[in-house]
Amino acid sequence: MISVKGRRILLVAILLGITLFALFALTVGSAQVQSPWRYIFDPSLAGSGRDIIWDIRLPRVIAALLVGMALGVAGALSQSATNNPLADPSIIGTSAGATLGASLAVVLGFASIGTLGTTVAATIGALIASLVTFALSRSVLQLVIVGIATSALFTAVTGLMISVADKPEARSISFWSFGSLALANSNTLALLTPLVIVTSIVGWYYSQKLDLLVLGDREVGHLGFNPQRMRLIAFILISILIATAVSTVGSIAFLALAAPHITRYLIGPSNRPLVIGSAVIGAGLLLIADTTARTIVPPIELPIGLITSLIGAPILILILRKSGEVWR
Amino acid sequence: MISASALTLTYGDRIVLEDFSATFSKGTITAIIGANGSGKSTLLAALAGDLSPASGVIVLNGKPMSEMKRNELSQLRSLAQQSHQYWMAYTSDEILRLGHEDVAEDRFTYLVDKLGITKYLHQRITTLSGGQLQRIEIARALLRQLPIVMLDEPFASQDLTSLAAITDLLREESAAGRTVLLVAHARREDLSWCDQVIEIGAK
Repeated sequence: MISVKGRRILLVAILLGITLFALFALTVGSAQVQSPWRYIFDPSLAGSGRDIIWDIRLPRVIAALLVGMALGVAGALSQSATNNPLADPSIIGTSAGATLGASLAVVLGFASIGTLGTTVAATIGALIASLVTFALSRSVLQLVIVGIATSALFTAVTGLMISVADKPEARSISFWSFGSLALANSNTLALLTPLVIVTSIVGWYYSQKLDLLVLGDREVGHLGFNPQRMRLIAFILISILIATAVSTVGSIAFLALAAPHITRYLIGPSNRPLVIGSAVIGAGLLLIADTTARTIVPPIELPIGLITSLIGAPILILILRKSGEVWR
Repeated sequence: MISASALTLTYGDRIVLEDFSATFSKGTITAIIGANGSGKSTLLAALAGDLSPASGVIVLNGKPMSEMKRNELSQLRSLAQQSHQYWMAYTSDEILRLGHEDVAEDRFTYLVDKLGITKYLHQRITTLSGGQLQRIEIARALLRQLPIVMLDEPFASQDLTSLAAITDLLREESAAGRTVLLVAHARREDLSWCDQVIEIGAK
């Protein structure tokens, strides 16, 4: 583990790396922009290059950072709230619930994609699914099994609904249930920015209390706290974060599991630094993944979830091997 | 002081303990012994407030436990569980300090030293042996210096040195006026250093 000073240096280094990569990401894309740096350093310069960089690529880069941050924080909070290193919003049902909530709102015509209405519906779906999982499981192992079942159930209902829905939106629903940042624009950012930033800060603040859950519910109760209430608050925060991500760019695999594990390996499990680290690592990984997805075989855009898995899985496996745990 | 009168404890439909009465006075050490499955840990859970008795009353310092809020109870008793499975790799030091922000540093150092935890204080909790983990639980229960200290089988996987350290500490606790209550898997004659030994389930 690294000292507090070491952590700060590492954090600054990673942030610097992300900033440089974000600038680089603005210069690449399927559309060729001649001398892109001119437009980056002088936004007043007119031309199609300006439009591509400032109106298309920049919102997408910022959306990648925000969604990655949301997934990282949600992952850290769900592992901590359930006291389970395997818990991840896509395993405990949160993501499937959010997808069902969002698509239900769209198919029934309550809201259209990318609006606050969809996010609210997604949050409700996410919260219901995570609470169902938690209420039905009696152990750390069961949580995972019940979570997989809950996810399958919610995903099946979403699929059935989309199959029978006679709406043009249904096609795009199936599109963003696989996740894509291609539709990110300034409206997306107007929704993402406040929700992700505020919820992440509240999550960071509250996460210190969630550290106690590692002691087990009995001991938490003996210390005078109500573990179920703590978990409920955490689930609400996780649901808002996941719902915001799902309702704007769809569900993106693996990142919420990988970001906290990578961070924990670097700086240990204590929640406040863990939440900050997971936010930063999540943001960085998603930006790298999205930039790769849209530039590696132009003009084809690869599904982002595949890239997050391709980048995240080897890192995760490597880290788990190095951390020296043994079967027992 | 704790007094239990006419306690009946159930686990589902099964009666685990029937009509149990006892008094645990301030400044004394009581050991509860009994065969496997005799209900020792269930009794401890009831006395700690984790399990509501099917009938009977538990009174803590003159007030019925059923009228106490979680918060009030948390200022009266601590409990060292027999074991706890940790899934997150916090260090021993971090685990000992969780929820104990107001514990004085010299108390912390004293207990950590006395229980032989110092050498694995900065080791990850997930890598500790059963005996080492149990000493962490015991240290946690003693850190806050609450009026009532309960321990579930504190000697279960301890070597002789640790055994002596734990008995010393418990004697210090009772000398300081605290009520010490422990469940043990020991023979009555090995517990002569306790003020009271209660055997349950002996029929």
